[in-house]
Amino acid sequence: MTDTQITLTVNGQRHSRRVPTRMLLSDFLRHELRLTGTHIGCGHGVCGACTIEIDGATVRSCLMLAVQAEGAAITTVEGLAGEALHPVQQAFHEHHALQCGYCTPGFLAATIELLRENPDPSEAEIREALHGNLCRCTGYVNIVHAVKRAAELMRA
Amino acid sequence: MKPPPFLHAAPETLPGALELLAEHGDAARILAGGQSLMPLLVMRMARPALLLDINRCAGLSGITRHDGETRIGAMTRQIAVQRAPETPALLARALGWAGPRAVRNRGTLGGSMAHADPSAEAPAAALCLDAVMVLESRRGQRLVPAAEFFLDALVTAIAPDEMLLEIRIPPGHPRHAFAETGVRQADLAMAAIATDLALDRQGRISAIRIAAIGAANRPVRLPLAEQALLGQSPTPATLRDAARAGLAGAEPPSDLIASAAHRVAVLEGLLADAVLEACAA
Repeated sequence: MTDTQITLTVNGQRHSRRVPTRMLLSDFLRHELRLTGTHIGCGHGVCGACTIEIDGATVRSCLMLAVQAEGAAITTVEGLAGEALHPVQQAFHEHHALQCGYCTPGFLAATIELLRENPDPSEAEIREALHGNLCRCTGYVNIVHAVKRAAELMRA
Repeated sequence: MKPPPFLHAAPETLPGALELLAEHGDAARILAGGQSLMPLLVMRMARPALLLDINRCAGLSGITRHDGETRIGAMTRQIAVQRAPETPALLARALGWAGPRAVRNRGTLGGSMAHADPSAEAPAAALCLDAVMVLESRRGQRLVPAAEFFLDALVTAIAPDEMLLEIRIPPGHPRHAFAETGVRQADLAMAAIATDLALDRQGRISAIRIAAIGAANRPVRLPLAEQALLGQSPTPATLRDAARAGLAGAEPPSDLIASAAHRVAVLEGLLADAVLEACAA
């Protein structure tokens, strides 16, 4: 039993694949589905870059096996924008909350989860909610500004 | 990074899981939330022949109350434990320190206990609250108090054919506090103190339990500090003396994060802070 058939929904689209049981969910998204917006920073659950949403909650996709996502509904960064950018993406753009952009998909997922539960977070609450996501080039000041702005956009 | 090859089994019933455990024993590792085991797999520090995934196993999660006792299924996600009204307040507080949101969404209470990382918050809270671990195997069920459960860093009383089923927490004292210090805010605990206590009408401590992270290579109670504070009013002098008594024989780890002496000094301060905060609450 080293290969397993899985069926799951990613960004509204159903996929069915046969995968090795040891394949990480992050690798499945990138290599099997070619959704390379989910970035892999550390590969062992430290940096938060691979954070995605599964069944309504954020998880680090490098800390799950693809076979564990059988039947799951997943949203990756590719599923955020419609015709226009998602308000959180728009706010990150406006406030220069990304420089190289490597950590951004994880920050977006964490921010969306925060704002869904707390539409008007304080700076302390924003920093608490994002502390599992590392950024090594932009710095956190503009990211915090962007989250504040995103909260405004989403409340409007 | 890629885990080594393994067989993956995801039984849907507890008897199915226990049968696989009985068959494979030491060669199997139980995969709960995976927030500790998955990193060990990708770094190849764990190489189980069988990964026994209990995420689809029915009946292992949920929180209930029985005569004041709180029973938490081992697979209950940490975020659910943290937010449930039935959860003892000290445990909920401790889980607030237990890693970022995405980790608590997936990580389980039972996984944290069974992994027994010496810097983990939930085991210290369980020890402080005299929690009881319910262990199940095909041989039957046994109850192990937290004080006999955490044996060493990453070592517990769980036998190779046993699985942690439930964490039972008896009713606690009315006041509590959890104080922690790490190298950076929200980083792994260098040292932490969990306490729950009761005051009499004169404001003296009439019951108290204190557990420490960072005082040894596993969470430990500080019975000498508890004894020193019993019947006392929480003044700076009594707190300092109690902290010194409680940590006098401690042998904390010495590592890149902190020396043993530094951990003792930090713990003395955290103990005083935590007890004062609990008394003022």
